[in-house]
Amino acid sequence: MNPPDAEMIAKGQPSQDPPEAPRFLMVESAKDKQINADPLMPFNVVQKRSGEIVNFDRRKIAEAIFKAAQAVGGADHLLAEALAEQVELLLHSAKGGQHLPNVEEIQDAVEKILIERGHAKTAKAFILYRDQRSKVRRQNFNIRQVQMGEVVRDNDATDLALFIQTSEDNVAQWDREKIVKALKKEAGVAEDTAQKIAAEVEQQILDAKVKRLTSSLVRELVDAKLIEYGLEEARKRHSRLGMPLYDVEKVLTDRNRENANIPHNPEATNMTLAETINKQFALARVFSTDVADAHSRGDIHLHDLGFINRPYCSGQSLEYVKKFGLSLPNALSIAKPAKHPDTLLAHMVKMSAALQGHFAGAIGWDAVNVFFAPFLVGMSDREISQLAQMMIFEYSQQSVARGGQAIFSDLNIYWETPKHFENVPAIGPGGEYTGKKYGDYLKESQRFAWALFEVYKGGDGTGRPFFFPKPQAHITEKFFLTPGHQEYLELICSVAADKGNTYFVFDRGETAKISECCRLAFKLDDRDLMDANTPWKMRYSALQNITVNLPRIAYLAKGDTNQLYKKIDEFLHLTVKGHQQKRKFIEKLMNLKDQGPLALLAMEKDGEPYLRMGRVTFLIGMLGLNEMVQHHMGQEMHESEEAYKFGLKMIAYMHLKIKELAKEYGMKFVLEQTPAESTAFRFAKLDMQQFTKDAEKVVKGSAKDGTVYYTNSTYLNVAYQMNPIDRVKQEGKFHDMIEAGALTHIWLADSHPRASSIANFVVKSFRQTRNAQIAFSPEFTTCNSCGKVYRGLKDECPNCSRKTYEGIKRIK
Amino acid sequence: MELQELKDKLTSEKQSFEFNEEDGGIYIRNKRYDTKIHASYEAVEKHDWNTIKAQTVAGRDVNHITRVTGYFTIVEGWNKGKIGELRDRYKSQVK
Ligand SMILES: [Zn+2]
Repeated sequence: MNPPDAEMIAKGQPSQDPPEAPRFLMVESAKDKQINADPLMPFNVVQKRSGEIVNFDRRKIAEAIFKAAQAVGGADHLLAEALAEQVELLLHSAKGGQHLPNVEEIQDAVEKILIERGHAKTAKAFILYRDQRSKVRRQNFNIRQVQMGEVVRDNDATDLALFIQTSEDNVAQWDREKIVKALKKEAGVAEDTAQKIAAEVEQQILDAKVKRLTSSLVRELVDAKLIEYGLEEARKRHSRLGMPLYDVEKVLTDRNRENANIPHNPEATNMTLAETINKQFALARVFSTDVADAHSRGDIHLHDLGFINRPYCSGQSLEYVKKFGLSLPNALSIAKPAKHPDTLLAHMVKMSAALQGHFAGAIGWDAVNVFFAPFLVGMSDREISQLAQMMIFEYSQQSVARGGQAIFSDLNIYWETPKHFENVPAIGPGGEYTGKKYGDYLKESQRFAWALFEVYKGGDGTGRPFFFPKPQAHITEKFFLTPGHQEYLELICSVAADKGNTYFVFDRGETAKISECCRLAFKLDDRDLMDANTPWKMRYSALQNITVNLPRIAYLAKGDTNQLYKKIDEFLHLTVKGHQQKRKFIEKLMNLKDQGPLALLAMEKDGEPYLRMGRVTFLIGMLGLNEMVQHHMGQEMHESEEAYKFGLKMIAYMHLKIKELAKEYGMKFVLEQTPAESTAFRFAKLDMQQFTKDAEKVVKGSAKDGTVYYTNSTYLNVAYQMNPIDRVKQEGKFHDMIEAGALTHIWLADSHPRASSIANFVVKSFRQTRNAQIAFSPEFTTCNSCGKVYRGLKDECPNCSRKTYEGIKRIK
Repeated sequence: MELQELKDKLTSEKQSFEFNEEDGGIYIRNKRYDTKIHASYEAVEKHDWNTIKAQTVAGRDVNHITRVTGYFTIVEGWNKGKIGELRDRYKSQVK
């Protein structure tokens, strides 16, 4: 969503004497539109107060700004012109080029731009000038008729029979004291100032003979007064979050073109609206101005701001559900521990749905087949395959209940019993110990793993790959010692070849991981070994993800390596600050315990809160290492050994640095390869605006049609043709330093390798590289008319376009 | 279907269709898929709306699916940066 973003970006701007000149002009959405949208015809006419339509003339705006600036000692005509241009862009973006702006709107826009760009004094002068003009106009206007029931003024001027529409969709009678109260309570304004402001606003409303008064308009008038009085901090606290009417209407009616994976239906719309306000709140209140500004500028990216009241992502244990059943705060019914496999499945899926509502990102489940095994004893192949089918369809179809948003879910699957679970007492039906160890259920565990991958191999009802849940197949040393692993490898590789689903997770040596969206990996330390004996405790979470814009660091360093390190430190410190602030906010919510919004995460069924705050990690993502190196060294990482080594050095430095920071702050920081579905685009776009000359030389994609991006995380250039195993090897050299998980993609396009080729490749990757995880990605085309699925990206369905009828011909 | 019925249908969906009568039949342009067909009057008579409409779609109502980064999604929903990356992605030969 562009427009609300723009609003947000405008937030938190320094008002009085910014410490340094802003590096760029914050008009993202307006500029965006110019770059991305169809060439819009700029409006060239304006509606005057009299209703008359005249030609739009930017110079007039520039003149007005310049006059106001002169009144407070300014003399920069060029700046006035630049600001006028932004006013025009703002009007343009707000109006979508659809309507004529009127004089009031133009003046509003001028005020907004002046305030946002830190020209508070000029803004004040402009507002005064505007006010004077309107007084003059009113005097000339005589008495205008008052419309029925709206603003009725008694003979006694102090008694105003004015009704306001409030945000609680009520009508309330005008009460000046309410302004005073709000100013004191919300913004901490002193009594006498508050009284003065309230009186002035009242006068203004009377003078203007407003026809419809809403509480939001009153608030805006009060805020304008706060600016006039130079009370910027108070204004910030008193400000109102929300969206322009125009944008809300667009959200309600039009499909989100920015992200069509957000489905278009009422429930999804609710989410968009809520996210918009959450985001604004996060930037205004949760994060400090420097962190919020760094995000808005694109130095760093604070992920999932729309979900500010949730931790980021999580790794779950099925043992918790097995042991405690489904008994959640505020639930309408409570279920005891499951006695049957399909009940357990239902509990697991419902728990996932509940957790999805409490985390911003993925819900990953550890060793699903291993933990299901005690429930599967004595089941036939058919029954097990039925259960597997149910599990995958249940997850992939949860979206129907949530406005089309799938549950972002991961199933970690093992062929062997992982070493750390082998001798752990197994929990079976009814939440009771079965008296056996998990190692004793290998057969059932394997049968279930097999059945799950058979379902993946078939795909959904039309043969498309399942989008969720994602299967994470762990390959370990023990895997190769476990009977049947060759046949199983063949199966999961045939899934990779046919549908692409399988993620191959390499746990070499003693490493164990729970994999999910952020590929959260944890090495077995003593604490975790203890946890493994009580596996329901193995609940992990990354509280927040903050990604650093690496190419920008290179631009700022201007080729000076010392500066490069300095800037890395600076940006990393900002991420630390952001993490502390997010933690503080979540802690505040968690401390409300069962009375708070995170009651589910605060429940203490096993003696500690479900979300173990002491164990959470804080992700630091990096984006565009390749372009950082390219700018600094003049070569991309694949172009020379030297450039590649420099890339490794950068990540090694960051790895060490965050270890230091972790010690210093007592927080577990880990590097992560940010998936960066939108950030790779956002950073590139922002840099093209703010560091145009530098960015245009390294940015990938095409500036012409706006398809610009930075190479993800530590990846090599995605277009570079190289032997895939070399890519796995070279990209893999970064992976040991990226503890929160890393992955190499093998893009298959329309090719369809044999399962045995993939199996060879996987074994080679495990044995001969340090790569942490690989996935193979084929491409598909599905026809909405006939339902057929094809390999590769096709413009037309061959089946449907072939169909012809006598007398109907296609004109090319 | 009746010619008039067809014309009414096309008019009621004029955000998607344009048409004109010429050359012993009707030209129909489907704006959404940027296609154009010509149907003779006999053909119009013989076929129903779904068939004629499908001929204007001509198999172009397709979606593309592949991994965006961490998961499979429908490509039509990707942002421009991701579309740029998709065009660039190398194609591996795993042999
Ligand atoms: Zn088809």
